[in-house]
Amino acid sequence: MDVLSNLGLGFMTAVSPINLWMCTLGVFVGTLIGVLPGIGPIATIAMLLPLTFSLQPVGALIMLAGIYYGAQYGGSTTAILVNLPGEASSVVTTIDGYQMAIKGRAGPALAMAAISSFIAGTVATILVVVAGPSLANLANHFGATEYFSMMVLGLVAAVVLSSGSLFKSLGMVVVGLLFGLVGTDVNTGAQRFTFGLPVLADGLGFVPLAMGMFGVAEVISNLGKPVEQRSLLTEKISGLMPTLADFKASAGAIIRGTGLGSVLGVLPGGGPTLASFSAYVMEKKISDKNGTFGKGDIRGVAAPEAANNAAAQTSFIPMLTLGLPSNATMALMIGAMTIHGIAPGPQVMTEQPALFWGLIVSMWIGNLMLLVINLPLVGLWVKLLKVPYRLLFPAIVLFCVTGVYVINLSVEEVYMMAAFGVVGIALHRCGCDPVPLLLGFILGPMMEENLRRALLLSAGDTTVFFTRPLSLGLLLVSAALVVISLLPALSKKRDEVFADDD
Amino acid sequence: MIGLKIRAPQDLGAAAIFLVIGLVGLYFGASLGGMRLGNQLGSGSMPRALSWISLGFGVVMLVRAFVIKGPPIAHIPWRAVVIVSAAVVLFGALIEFVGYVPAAILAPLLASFALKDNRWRESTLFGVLLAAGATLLFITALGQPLHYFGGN
Repeated sequence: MDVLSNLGLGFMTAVSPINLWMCTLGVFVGTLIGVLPGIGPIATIAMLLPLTFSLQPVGALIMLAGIYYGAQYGGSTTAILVNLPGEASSVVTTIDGYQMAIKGRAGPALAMAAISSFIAGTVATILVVVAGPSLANLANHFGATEYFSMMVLGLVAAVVLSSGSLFKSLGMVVVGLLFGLVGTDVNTGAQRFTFGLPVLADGLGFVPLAMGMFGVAEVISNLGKPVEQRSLLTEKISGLMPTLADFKASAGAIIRGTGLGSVLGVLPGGGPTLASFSAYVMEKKISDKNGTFGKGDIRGVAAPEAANNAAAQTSFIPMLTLGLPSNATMALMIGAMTIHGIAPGPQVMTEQPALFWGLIVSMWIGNLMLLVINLPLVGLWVKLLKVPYRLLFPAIVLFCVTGVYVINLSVEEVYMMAAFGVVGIALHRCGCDPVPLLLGFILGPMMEENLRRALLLSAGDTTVFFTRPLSLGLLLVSAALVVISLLPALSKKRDEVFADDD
Repeated sequence: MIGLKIRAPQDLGAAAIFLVIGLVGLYFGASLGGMRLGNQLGSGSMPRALSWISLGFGVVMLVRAFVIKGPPIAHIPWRAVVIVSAAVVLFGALIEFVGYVPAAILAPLLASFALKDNRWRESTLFGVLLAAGATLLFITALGQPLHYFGGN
């Protein structure tokens, strides 16, 4: 396989007018919701999923991906200017970013956030190009047995790295898997948990579930919080460009942030939030010799911003090549592919090369666009920050109801979304993270299918999962992860990392 | 003998969720086919296995709730829960009878009352503008199969 001709195909796909427009739209919307606290990429992608029905799949995915990494850019703007994280992944950027802004260096902080994001995005895109095909080729040799074990590992790893109690998260995975089995059983035609309702015959709707738990529940949750104070430091931002000294200081931080972010993005359960936290902590340990971190050190902006963007990019690797979602956004992307009739998995690269490579190239183009549109438009984003949540949330509600209704023109699905909103709140209040549920929901039918096939091929021999070496290895790693995460030292560390992550 | 005391209300809630889902799964999954000849999965095998696992997690959480101290259940914003859900349901109830424009004005307007100090004049004005924008976006520009006014 020659990478260059593939990249050429991807480039041709990505720069076609419609796809270029989708990419622009995606990064623009992404920046917008990234800037606004209280609405994140998960809810936005869930809301916009139905609207992508009428598009070509590649255009739809390009736009949704743009929202995801665009939000990582936008989140930093709010973090630096208002001391509020626009996204969970920019929480640590508030620490040094806001201090820089207080010292009148908001411009360089914003520019450095954008530049380090761009560098990280570029490097991570190259990584996707290099690692993607080899991983897909490897996965092509997987049988049903290996696939099943890999999904077990994916789910376990996602749980171990996610926030909150391990038992609750594992339980949520199981609940998600069960939810995924609702509907007509494809093998036997039996109706499972449909309660005679036609709307459930095709299974629980992915869109009402995701929108209810991540859109509606998030709105309700935000309304329960006290009104936040948004005090803007300055309206005019002058002197955007960082100085040469800034660049020299940040170079190492950017490289380290990119490296760490790229690795954490690929891991199940990883992603931008974990990446930015870890990168900040690591950078502080390595570079904070004079105790300048927390007082407006530009490296404290560069490292986490590079890391979250790199992670956003590399989390596409397992999604595109294995069909495994590593976080909630990737689960939504898999949902989007399924809606468009594309079965996720290693065959996507060979059967849909234009989609695979077009999406990858578009991510790089999107990063370039973000660099270009973000800095000149900072004034516009700042104005947007003045939109209070009391005006924003009715709009979110309207987008949710419209979005869920237009998929199937089904009123039942609107009601279902309301129900999932209440369920989402209940879970949240019991300390249960809905993300593992969503991952389980996506993987439920695939896991059952592979388990079935594995048992069919082995003539009912259940030990096959432990006798095939690759499968055994994957299961052993899963078991090891659970054991390690139960060790007290590590579970404390997890709590620290996720202490502010809500 | 020390009396049983709830030490972790959140864990108790989680236990309730896992137990209910497990029981519902077992009850309604009972009629589904079991393992078939030659150890092959029936339609009910996986649902029942998962229900049992869910019950297991429920029991674990139940024990933990009484043994390990945990945080209390955070304040539940009842007003927001009721009103936002009602707004979603209202949209569903209206859309097929009155069309998109009225439903898109009324549902967000109702939702805006989820905040106690709602300024209804502002909300109404904003609601109308919002509905106009959404109508232009969804129906006029994106051509979604919705009626401006009136039922199907």
